[in-house]
Amino acid sequence: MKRILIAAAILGAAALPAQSATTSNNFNVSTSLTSQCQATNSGSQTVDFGTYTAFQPGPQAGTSVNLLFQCTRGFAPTTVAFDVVNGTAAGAGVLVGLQYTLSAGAASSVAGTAATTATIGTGDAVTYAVTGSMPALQAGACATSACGPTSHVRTLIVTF
Amino acid sequence: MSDDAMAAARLSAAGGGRGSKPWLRVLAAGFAAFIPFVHAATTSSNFTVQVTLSSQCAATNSGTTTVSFGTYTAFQGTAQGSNSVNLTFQCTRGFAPVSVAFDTVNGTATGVGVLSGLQYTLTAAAPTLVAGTAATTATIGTGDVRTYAVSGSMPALQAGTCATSTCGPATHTRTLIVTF
Repeated sequence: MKRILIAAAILGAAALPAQSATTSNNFNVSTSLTSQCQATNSGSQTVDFGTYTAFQPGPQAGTSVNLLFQCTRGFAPTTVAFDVVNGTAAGAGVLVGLQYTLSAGAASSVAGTAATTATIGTGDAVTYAVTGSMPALQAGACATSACGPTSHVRTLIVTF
Repeated sequence: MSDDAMAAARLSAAGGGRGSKPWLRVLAAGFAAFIPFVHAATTSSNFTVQVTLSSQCAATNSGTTTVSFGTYTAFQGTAQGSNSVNLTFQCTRGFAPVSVAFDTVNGTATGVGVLSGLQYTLTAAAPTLVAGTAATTATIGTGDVRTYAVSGSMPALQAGTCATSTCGPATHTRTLIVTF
């Protein structure tokens, strides 16, 4: 009988933690997200046409540059256009009396990483390759035997 | 949303109210139609476009051009003139050739030559210039056109070389060389 009482006392001690209790109160976390894209290029990017020889029989291609943008994950820009300060929205322009046309390739997208409870994640990286071409048989404008390198700034405008 | 658009939207919401005017409702509808465009946003990325231009001149003649002295009668008392031919070149706008000369294959650089034993001298006049049109975003433009009038003269009192009563017409090719 004494042995049974001891066992009961041990059981009673073990039962004590079961008496702590919890209660909870729900609330909402709310936010509105305004999706954005932003340019992430650093340094200078140059579409270089090299040397154009007046009246050359073939068109002259420019180097390709990659222009990078970072966008909200899953959010894609709707259109791209060029500035109308140094040319047309479609990409045409004139440099040293030489006409050129720029074109932006289809966007290539690298999906960002999702935010977690440990990291804020990253945006989708959207890259546009911009190339240019100068038509053949152009005279150009230059009072001396060679002019340049001459340059001006163009802008790729992404609408989202 | 601009104040105008807000006012228009309020006006639109109150459409049909006392004293409302149909033309105002049309105006309001017009503003309302533009409102969605206000939400479009843009971002931009700058880059540089660069080129070096090597100025050039190119001959643009087509077909045959002939400096013809006609018929020279041996020992004639006066010099024999020729017709004039126009030789055209297209150059980079604003770029002028520095000098012209004739070939040294069938004569001298200054234009002297001999044909059927008759000496002649060619002359290239100062060029006339027609300015080209500038390139635009829509067209590639045109070059400056420089035209050289070339004419010749055969001195008087020449015997010529010919085994028969007449020779010719005899011809050879000369070249005007433009240095730029």
